Amino acid sequence: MASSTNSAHEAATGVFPPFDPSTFGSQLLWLALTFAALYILMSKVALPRIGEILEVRRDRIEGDLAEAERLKQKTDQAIKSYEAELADAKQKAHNIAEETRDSIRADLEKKRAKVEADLAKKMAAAENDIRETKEAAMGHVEEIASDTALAIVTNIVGRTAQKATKDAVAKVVKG
Amino acid sequence: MANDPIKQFKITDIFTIGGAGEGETGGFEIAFTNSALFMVITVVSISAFLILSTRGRGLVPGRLQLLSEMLYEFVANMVRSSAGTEGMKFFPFVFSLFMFVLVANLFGMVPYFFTVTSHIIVTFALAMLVISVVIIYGFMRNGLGFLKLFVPAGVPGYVLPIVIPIEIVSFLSRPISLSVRLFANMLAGHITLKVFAGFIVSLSSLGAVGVLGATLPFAMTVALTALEFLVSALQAYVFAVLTSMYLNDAIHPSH
Amino acid sequence: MTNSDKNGAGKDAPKGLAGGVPTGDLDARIRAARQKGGYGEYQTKPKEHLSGHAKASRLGTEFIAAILVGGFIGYFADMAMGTTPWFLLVMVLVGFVAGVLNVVRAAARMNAEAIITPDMDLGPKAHRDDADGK
Repeated sequence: MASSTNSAHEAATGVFPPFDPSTFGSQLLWLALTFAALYILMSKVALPRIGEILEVRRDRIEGDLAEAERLKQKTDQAIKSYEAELADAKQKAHNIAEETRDSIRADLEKKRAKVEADLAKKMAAAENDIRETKEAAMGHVEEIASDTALAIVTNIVGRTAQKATKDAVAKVVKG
Repeated sequence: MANDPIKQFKITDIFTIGGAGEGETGGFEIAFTNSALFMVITVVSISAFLILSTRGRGLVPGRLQLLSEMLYEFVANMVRSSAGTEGMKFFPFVFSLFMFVLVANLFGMVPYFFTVTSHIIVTFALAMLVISVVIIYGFMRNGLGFLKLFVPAGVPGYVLPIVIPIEIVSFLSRPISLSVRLFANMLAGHITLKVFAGFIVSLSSLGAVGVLGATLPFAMTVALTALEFLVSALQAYVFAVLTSMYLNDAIHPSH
Repeated sequence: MTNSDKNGAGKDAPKGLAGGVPTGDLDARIRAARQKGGYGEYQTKPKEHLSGHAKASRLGTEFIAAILVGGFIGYFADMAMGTTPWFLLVMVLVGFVAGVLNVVRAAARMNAEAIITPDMDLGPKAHRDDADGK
């Protein structure tokens, strides 16, 4: 422990060093100087710089996140509009098909109706024809029958009872 | 040399400035001591590290820059949570204190290095600095309202003569406890370490049996060293946290 | 595939892109990044609860320091006024009380600031609100 160089505390060699008052002055002085220097360096250089770095990073990340959010929304919108358009197109296609089908059906219906009407008319005409023919034929039948009967009667009887024969024939034919 | 656990705290002059002639008054003699040397080393290390590591201002921090940023955020969060946003104006102050104490403590762990914070005058000066800032800012901000700190709310008038001295003593005990805690922890830890390290040296000089016997103190020294590193960091943290809390009192004196 | 229920809901509903909304995962990731606020703040929130050692060293010195301060004040008051030992006695007592007050306050603050995690055992029917103090 024999210290030879300590001019500052020769008087206090026996004192426990941390409590040696003779060193207080110098320690305080150097502490003040060094701590002041540290404080100035920290508050003027180091801390503003770190703060700025953190700030810039925060802003950057914030900005990137916002950008990501924006792009994501844009994408979502695009997808939505795409889907809406898709649905629209499908609906349209569906409508067109439906319309076409309807118009074709209507056309067909119309044509068929026309054909049927035509057919019905023709049928009616034909029936009419037939009836007329039949009626004409029937008229002829009476005449022929009465002629025939008259001839037979004349042949048999020899005299002609034209009116009676005619009536009788008509009776038969009608009866 | 290694056997005397007290010697590590001894302050020795490295050189002196001025006062060449008369030594008896010592009036203008300024000694640059080992203590001063380590204060300078501490400050230079802190500044160099923080300033150089952030030189690149990398958006993506490197390892050293990350460490600087973590220290920054750590202290910033501590101040913000203890003293609020207004307390952030003292952030450089608390940060300087924290770093100074932390790095001085950690340097003290290196063998043959001087521990600046193992001297009561240093820790006391730092604590007085803190409490001065608290008092000065408290009065500047709150005027005489700062005295409300000594008058707890909701106490009937007739007990005030008892309560106020108690509060004053309680307040004045803060710098004492702040400085004594740091000083005592560093001093005790270093003495213990030195004592155990001394055992190793003296035991191993006894020959083979001694070397065998030295394993126990060696294990103790290793464990103690780990503990001391923890204590160094923790004491710096406690010092800074309490500083923030006291600053909070200056900002909001009524509690 | 969610096509089956889609088809059930509306006939011939547009299928969209396969696999549902492709940006759903992105949304969650952006939200997570926001919430984490992982920039700059490295989850180094100072533990409001000091570790045990720090607590112990705090409380001990706060107590002793108050007695010391009381003693000093008393001693110098006695010296100044020549009233030895009365001021010393009184102020040591005051210091003792102040020390107790220091410890109680520090402990109260530690309790108030203790981080209550959900998995902590707070005893029966403990609510998170209890931790807020004040």
